Amino acid sequence: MQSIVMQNTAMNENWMASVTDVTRFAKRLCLGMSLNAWLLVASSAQAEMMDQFHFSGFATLGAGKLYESEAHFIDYHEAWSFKSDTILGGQIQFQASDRWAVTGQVVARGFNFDNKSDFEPVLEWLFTSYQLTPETRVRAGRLRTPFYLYSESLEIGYSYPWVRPPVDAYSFLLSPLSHFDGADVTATFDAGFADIDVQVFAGVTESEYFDFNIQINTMLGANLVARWQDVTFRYGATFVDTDASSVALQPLIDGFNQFAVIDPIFAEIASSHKTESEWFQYHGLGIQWEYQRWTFLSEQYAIIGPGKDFSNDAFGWYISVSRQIGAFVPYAVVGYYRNKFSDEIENLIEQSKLIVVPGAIPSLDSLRQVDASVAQGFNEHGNTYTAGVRYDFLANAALKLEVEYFDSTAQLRGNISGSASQDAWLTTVVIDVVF
Amino acid sequence: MAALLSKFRISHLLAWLLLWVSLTVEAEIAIIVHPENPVQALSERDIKKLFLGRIRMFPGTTDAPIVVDQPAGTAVHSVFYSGFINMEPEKLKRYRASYLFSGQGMLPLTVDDALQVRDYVASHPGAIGYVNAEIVDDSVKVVFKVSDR
Repeated sequence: MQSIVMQNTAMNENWMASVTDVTRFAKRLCLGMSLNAWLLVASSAQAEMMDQFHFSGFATLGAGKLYESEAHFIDYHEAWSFKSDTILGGQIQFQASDRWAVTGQVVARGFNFDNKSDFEPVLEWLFTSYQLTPETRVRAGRLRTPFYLYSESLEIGYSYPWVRPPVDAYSFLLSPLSHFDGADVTATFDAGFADIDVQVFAGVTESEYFDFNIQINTMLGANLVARWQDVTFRYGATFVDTDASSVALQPLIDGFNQFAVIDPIFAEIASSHKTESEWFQYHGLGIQWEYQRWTFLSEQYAIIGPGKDFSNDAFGWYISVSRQIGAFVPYAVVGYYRNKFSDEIENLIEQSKLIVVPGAIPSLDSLRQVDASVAQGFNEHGNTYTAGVRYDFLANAALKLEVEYFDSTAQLRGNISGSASQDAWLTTVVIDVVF
Repeated sequence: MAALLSKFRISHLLAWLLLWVSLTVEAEIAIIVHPENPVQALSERDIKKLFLGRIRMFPGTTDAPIVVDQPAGTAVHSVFYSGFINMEPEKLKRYRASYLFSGQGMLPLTVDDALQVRDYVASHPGAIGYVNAEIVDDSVKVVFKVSDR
């Protein structure tokens, strides 16, 4: 990337020289001193301005094969396919002054968790930053949500050893909250024994996750990173005021509303199929220790919902061990994830059975049965075991080969049918580049 | 015959010279800034933060640094980052990719060699670089010597 910048500089200088020639020629044509001066100022200002632009990009070309016909994982299946991990990103940075800069980044993914078509570009970053002091910076605009250690560089495969950050923590459920529109302040402190970074942020966002519409009315968060010698510690907490609803649940809502004339409990069941302005908490704890050429890394998180309506609590962790051996980085990861769906719907259904006993209205019985199993379907847990190797075959490119084993009841692709335990093996090969 | 011998001697001498230079590089790296930079000295910690982009102004000023780097794979780059910054070059590449694409800021400017670092720093008031201390002259100001620590 820097070489491109240098080339740009050289090109601008040539171009500037030729403009200067033109202006000399213009002078000879007696166009007048003022125009000449104006042209010179304009051309050098333009050349300087081009120096202030930096273009860069990243890409991942991935291929994977899943050894299990029943399970799904980001659209991988039993035949080799190439889209699920394939990503292309481009970035422009503009340094306006010592203090001001503007950054924009667009990412196109081969697989999306919403209704976007494949490789449709998404604006993930667009912000202006202002450096208040050597230690303090403000950013405003569109930013990535900094839930965990790798949340802000989730798609930059080149920046981490694995094919993708451990799915047990970097859950796809977080994908609708991957960016927000708002602001953050970052400050770095010298605490003697350690360097401490503190970030606070606030914003709003809205997005889709399969058939769910998700609106974030307010997001507030803070995180703290402490580094001393070979150890990095991170804690982050994010509080999110959430609206969520799904068109797929509408038939159930309509179904229960039909029985609202019998008893208000059925209207209550119906309204429990939405989340309206309810606060969710996201907590993440990370620790990394670098010992000689070994890296030990673990993150643990808890998502705490309101405990009612259409909400969940989730918990998970992973432990990763890797070692640098020349240009190779072999690694192993173990992870765990558990999602507990709010039991309010099931409790209300049980209560309603005291009001309208089973057998009284057959259509209500089947509605209650279907709904209870849908709610149950969101309760899931699973383990993953991953082993792989990264090989840096060029200065800006890495090849990775990874095998991952899932032992999980998780709905890895977001479908809400069945929750029997599923085993699956996934083999992935990717090439990550930065340019 | 005499010519061959002198050729041999010259190449021999060159080899010794190269070895001596590389040893000197390992022994002494100078952190240099423009002579007009108000900063007189930098702490080891400040230098690490400047080269890793964790502070974005020279301490005690409002001037943004232009961090000038030498190419990865050169001896001085390895010694500077592995030995002084405490980040192995392989890890540095990953760190820089993450830094660049996670909205942290811009990467250092990489020039071809130490002489270019010195010339760039000498002609840009905001620049900071690291070079073999042997090539330092009056055109730049030394704010830290790695052997000092």
